[in-house]
Amino acid sequence: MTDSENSTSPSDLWASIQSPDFDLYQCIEMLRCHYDNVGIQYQLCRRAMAYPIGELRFFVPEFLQLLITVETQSLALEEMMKLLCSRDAHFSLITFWHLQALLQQLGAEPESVGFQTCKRLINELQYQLFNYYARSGGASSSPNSTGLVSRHDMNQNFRENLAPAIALQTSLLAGITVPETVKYVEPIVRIQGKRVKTLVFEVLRDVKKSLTENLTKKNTLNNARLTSSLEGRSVPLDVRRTKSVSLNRDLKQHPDTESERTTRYRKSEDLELDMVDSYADANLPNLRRPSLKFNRSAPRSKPKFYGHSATVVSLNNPDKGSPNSIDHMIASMPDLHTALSPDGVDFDGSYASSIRNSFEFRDSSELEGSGGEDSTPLARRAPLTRAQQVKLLKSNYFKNTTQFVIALQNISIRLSKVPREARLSTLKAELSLLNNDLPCEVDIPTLLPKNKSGKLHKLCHIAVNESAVLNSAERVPYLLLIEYFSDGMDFNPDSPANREFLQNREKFGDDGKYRFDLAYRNTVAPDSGTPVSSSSTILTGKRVPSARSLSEAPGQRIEESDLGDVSVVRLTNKIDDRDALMFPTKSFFSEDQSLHNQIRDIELSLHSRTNDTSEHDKNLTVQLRIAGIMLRQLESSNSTLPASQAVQIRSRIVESMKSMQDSFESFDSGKSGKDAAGERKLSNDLKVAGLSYLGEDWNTKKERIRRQSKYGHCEDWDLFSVIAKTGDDLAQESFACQLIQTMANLWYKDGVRIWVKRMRILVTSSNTGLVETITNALSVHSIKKSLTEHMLQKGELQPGEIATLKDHFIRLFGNEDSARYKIAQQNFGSSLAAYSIICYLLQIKDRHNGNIMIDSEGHIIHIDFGFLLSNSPGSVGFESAPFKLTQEYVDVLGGVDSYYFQQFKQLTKNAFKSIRKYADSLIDTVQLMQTDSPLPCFRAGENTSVLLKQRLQLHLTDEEVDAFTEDFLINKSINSAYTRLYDQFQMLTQGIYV
Amino acid sequence: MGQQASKLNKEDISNLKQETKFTTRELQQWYKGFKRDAPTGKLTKEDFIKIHRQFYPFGDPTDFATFAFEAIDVNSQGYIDFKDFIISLSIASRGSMPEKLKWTFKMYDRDKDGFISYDDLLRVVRSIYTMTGTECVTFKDEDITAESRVGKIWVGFHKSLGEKDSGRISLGEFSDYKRLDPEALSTLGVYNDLV
Repeated sequence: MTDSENSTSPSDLWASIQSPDFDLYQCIEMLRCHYDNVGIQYQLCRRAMAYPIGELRFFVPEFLQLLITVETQSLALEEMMKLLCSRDAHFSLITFWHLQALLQQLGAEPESVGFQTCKRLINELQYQLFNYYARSGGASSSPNSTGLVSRHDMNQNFRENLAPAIALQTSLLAGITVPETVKYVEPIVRIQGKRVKTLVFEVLRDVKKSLTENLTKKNTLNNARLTSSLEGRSVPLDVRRTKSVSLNRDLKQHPDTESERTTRYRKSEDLELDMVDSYADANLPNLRRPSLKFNRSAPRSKPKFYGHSATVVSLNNPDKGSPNSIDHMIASMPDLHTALSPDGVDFDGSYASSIRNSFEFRDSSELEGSGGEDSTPLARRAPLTRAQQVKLLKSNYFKNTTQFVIALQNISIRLSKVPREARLSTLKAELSLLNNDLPCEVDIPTLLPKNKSGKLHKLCHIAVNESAVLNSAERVPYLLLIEYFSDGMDFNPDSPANREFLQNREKFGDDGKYRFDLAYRNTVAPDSGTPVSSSSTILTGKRVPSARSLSEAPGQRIEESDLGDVSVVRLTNKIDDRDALMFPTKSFFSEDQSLHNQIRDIELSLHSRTNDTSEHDKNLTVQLRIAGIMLRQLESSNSTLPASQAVQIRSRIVESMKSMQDSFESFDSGKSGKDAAGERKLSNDLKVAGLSYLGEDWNTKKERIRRQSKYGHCEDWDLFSVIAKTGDDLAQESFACQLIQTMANLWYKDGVRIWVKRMRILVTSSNTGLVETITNALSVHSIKKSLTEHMLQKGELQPGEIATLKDHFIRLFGNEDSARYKIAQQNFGSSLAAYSIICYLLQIKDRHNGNIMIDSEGHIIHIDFGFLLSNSPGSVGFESAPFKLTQEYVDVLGGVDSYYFQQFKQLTKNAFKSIRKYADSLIDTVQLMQTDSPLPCFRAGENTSVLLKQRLQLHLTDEEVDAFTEDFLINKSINSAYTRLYDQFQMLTQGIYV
Repeated sequence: MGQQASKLNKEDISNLKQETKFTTRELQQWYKGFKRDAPTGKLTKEDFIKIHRQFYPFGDPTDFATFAFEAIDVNSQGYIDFKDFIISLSIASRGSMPEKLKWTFKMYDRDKDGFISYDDLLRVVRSIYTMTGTECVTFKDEDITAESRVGKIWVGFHKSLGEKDSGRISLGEFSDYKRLDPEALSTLGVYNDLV
């Protein structure tokens, strides 16, 4: 979109918005440049809502970027996001995770509008996601613009905003003769009327500053000092209220097990904001508080009670929503970002614990509200309305899905702390633990294929033995295969499964269980304060104090648990390792005896077999975690053991761990003699065809897993494979995929027949995410490696020679004259044309053979987008060719004079011309996303989009562009010395095949 | 009304409480909002037009905003102060039907002679059409132009289109519900209980 768009006449503007050709790219760009008009913003959002939800999900990052970078008076976009979130479960999860990521990225500037907007949105979304008792429905009935409701606020849908108040009045003046005027403007007036002006911050800037200084120094445990510091300031605020607010915050943070250091900064920030709220509440009653975090109606309990009950209560049944639970919900607002570490490096479990804390938080407030004597609140509770039932089902889904994702992230972190040799067994142990809670209402947005019936998928099992640790990077990505029911669930309260769930909820309430995690429950076991004498204690020490029995004697329980609780909390401040919490204060190497007992325990449990598979797996998992801790302690400098002994012990532990890796699900796989035979036959077939280097085909693998699975008989059983990744570049990777998808869409729309692989990435925080794997494709590196080895064995290659891609194509598709080979050539050419233009325009770098794949139909696929637009590996301009076009590629196509090479050239030209036609979609997207972005691909800042525009050569005519493509892109790329150099460099340094 | 004060004084409040349906707290709240968005305490015609451009970006609101401004600026001060604003808001959001009709009547009586003439009506309706822009508001076929709309309203008050120059609508006639378009009447209530 160019500047001229701004100067179009009003009615042209209207016409273009309403045009059927108006796409979401244009819509987003216009939202960006018409930031200064609420009417236009509203109409644009209304127009956007007309698009299918699937398309809107794709643009979540752009919408959020607009919200945080474009300052506007309009609330329309925010309202639209809320409405879409309330309508579509996947949309809200994607939004939620993206917000998490943004919050971490913006963490450096908590004062910025962007951060504040994010914070507000995420609070609101959490309210929407996790609280089912609220009035349900869309934005029209959604409480107000912060989403935090108190009874007081219920009818306050219109705030003291001058402009909408004027528009309201004058529209009535017009409406008496032209009622359509009111119809047109009423929704805008209503939306704008909700606006909360943040005058609070201006007024309080000074107060805040002085408070900050004080607070950052403070240990948040110290409630008394905290409040006294406030009183000391003689700020005339409601002290009692403030106390409870800050205490709430405190107790939320107590159980956090990550290092205090990483979170202190954010904690203090939050406390400070709370105080601003309270201050504003006391002094500026006319201003709407941005958040309401306390219970107005419930009797205030002693702070002491409040502070200490937290962790214990979490054991208790959390969801005894009493009729006045609206206030509780406010209190239960999970404030996830509080625990997110600003640097994103040491985020070990913090996200997880913050989610958990949100539930604890609710527990404590519910407890307070019901005053302890209310042990049977369920009987008194009014039955849920149908809308509430739907919300409950949704919130259950959100809870399970977010917890599942956290569990996957934590596994990655655990893996990184375990020696390489033991990683696979650790992975299997951890994954089999997840199976204990499956099937469960978990569905992963974006990655799974679309369900035609509109239902959600439901994960049922993880094929533990098929999982793999991908490499030895510090953050360990791993592959896992997840079985799921494609028609798994919906939110219809009348479906049999949902009815059962609702009835159970009605009867028993929420089990309060934190799913997909073992450590957590054990941490808060009553005897957790005392050293664990032997691992068996942990294993048998299940959740002994049941929720029911506990709630009968609340006072006593709280007394009792104070001590143990505190010791756990203290411990967490020192130890940054969640696992270690399971075995507090224990050093395995303090005495020799304990060490040997421990190792014997581990070995024993390996050979023992119980009849209960899941119990067995759990047992193993615990043993492996212990082993992991032992190894870490062994490596830590505190170890007093002599070096030789340490080495010996280490190898013994690692041996034990390794031997465990095949012990999982042995009951399932043991019976499959038939499968083994089948596998043998398959590998024979491959051998005969000379393709054994390719490994197992995806469909074959799927069938094999289906036969082995206890859910395999279900009609809607399906399997997908996903990589769980952690690392800083996930957001960038996802952005790259989005740009590639944008280009693919444009080509499709324009009828250019080239092929692009659709890559799906789900960002779940700023440095974690799930990446779709490409089944039926192998990297060029591994193809060549295995094929070379294979051919060397057969004597088809001389030592020192390397197999070529053409060798692979002939083996896979038949000889060069065959129809299959020709189709494969065609596929290769059409995908190569697409990726050539993609790589050139987006400057995708680091194109070694490990990042390029070939699928079973001959398509080339690029993966791994750590370097694009304005960043590249190293400072040397190694890869200065426009894109990678090696002699080998040319050979596969049949040489420079061949039909398929000519076709490739033509397709490349067409692809380039086509993109130029719609260049704005691409440039606008980059321009929007580069604003204030910390992603490395935007290193060139505002220049990033300028350079992209230059590469598009928009000043050239189509004929000139064809010449440019031929001379400057293709010919320069063919056999580029730089490309070869880079491959050789990778060969030498990384062992990646040329 | 003290221009610099950040709060209304007791006298202001007791006066405004009589003239509006707002509570003390609400008055203070709105006063704060008014001062925040119009720090001088005065809203000029230009401000008024600007606000209307925000809500009606697809047309030209200049004329209508001017008419509406003059209707709300009851004392013809040339600006709207908090009192003008809040009284008018009170009528629009909490007023009774007769109050609302009386209030709107004032705007349509362009020449301030106590009656709405055909010409008055046409000027205002035309300005509304110009403001909304005819593309973005869907009109019924018979209402597609300001003239046809005015004709319909005129006839609704039992005036003949032959007496465009001589005919006029009195406040009494205007307040007779039966003569107004039911849709227009229901429109007057859409913001009830919102503010």
